[in-house]
Amino acid sequence: MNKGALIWMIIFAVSALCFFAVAAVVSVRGFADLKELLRSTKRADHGEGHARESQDGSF
Amino acid sequence: MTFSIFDWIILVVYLAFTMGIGFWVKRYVESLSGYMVAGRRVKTSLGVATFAATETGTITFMYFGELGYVSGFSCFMIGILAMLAYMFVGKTGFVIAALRRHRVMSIPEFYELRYSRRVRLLGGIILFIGGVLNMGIFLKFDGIFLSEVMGLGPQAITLIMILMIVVVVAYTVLGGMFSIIVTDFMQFVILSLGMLVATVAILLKVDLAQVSSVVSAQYGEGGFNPLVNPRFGWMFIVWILISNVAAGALWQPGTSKALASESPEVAKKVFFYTSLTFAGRAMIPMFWGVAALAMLGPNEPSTAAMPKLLGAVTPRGLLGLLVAGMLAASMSTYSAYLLAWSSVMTRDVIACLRTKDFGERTTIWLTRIVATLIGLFLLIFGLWYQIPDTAFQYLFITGAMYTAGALGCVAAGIYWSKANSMGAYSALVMGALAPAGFLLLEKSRETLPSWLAFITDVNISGLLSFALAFTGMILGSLVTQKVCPPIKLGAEETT
Repeated sequence: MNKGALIWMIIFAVSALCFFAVAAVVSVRGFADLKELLRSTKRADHGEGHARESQDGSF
Repeated sequence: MTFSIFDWIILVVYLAFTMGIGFWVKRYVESLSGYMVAGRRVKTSLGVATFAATETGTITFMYFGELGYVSGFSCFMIGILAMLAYMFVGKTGFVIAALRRHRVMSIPEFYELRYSRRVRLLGGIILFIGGVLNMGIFLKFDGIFLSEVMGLGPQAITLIMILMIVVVVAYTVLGGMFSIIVTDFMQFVILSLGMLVATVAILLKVDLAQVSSVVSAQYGEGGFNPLVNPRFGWMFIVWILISNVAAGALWQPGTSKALASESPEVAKKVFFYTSLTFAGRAMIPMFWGVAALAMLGPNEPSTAAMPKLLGAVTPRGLLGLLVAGMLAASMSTYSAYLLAWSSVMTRDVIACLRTKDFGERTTIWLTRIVATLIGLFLLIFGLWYQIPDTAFQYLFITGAMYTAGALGCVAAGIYWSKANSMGAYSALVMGALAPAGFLLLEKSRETLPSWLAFITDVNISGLLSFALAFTGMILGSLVTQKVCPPIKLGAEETT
């Protein structure tokens, strides 16, 4: 194999591994973040809900 | 047709699930900040997943795959440049941290804080034109990709384009940034799986020694060394590096993820961790393109070669997952872009033409109408327009139309106390000149006088746009300091 091709293949392998490793980590931790986001939004909406009762629902 | 029943089931279930989630999330949209920036409550991991999903569409695979096919390994350095640029933005918080601290929802909003409402209007118009033109080719490339991978043939391209835009417009229009955050996250998981499936399928079939020898035979030293490849060279490298820093900090669909973060520190972390995926995001599809060159030969249409290879090497059953992954990638990109450009048109252009601001409800409805109109435009433009050179260069030159001026305006606005509105006008107009010249004159390259021919070189036009924008900002500000004194930014918010 050409030396240039070998160097690029090594860089490619490291980059691809890095991509999939970050993807795996944020897929797991991101799910927890997502649940927290929806929960906190619901809480905030409940808090503001009474003040909004005179308005007509969501957009 | 290469699609089996099992592949169709995966695809239909995935689409139905995404649509369902997109509509379900609508219930969380209660305010303008909820619609535009998800209430500014996004944490690091979710931010990384949605940012990476926004920046990775089928169009990304198509233009990087095409580059791999037409230039060999040397294009891999673009991935390294992108990673370095986004890492710089994430590590230093360049521009994004200040934007988040000022709690703006769009980049032009910052122009009004630092310069004037008219600068915001001009910046909004240029951003909207550059952004929508940039997005104009997405649908067409997605249509080509999916029709090739699924083995449906070119006659299916229009139907695929219509179906995709209808689905994405529907959930973006209704759910705004909340829908985007939730569906982007799911889509990031699916697209990562799709990329893994495709890469493994190709690695199992391709002979790496053959890839090396085919690239060597086809492109010689230029297939491995970007400095001697006629498509690249030093000028290209400098342009792409600056362009990536500008796009990282100021490309509205991506920057909106920083603006949606729960704090400026989280915004920096989101950019830093996402940068770690950027080399792979570019090199994985580039490798698919290089493999297509080795396995299919150099005579395939450059845009269709990579998807054709994927359709041929991916086992049936897994092909459905791959297509779902690519659709996921596209839908997350479209939705973020649609929301970004429609909110810019509504809040930074239409609202700026009025003396009184719209209410939140009217703003959201106007944004929805503009998003639908952009969807319609994308369909027509995609069917009609023939891109010059490679898709990668088209995307970067249309992006430069806005990012060059924006980098001058925002970076100077944050870090240089003498920046004023005249400098901002000059930066925005001069930054857009060279890319606009390229897009208008490129088709009549042969008839141009020799002294103007340089403008049809995409690398020169791209780099020139940044040089002109910076010159415009510095000269415009220094010459008019007395008649147009700079406005100081108000106090920054800490969260």
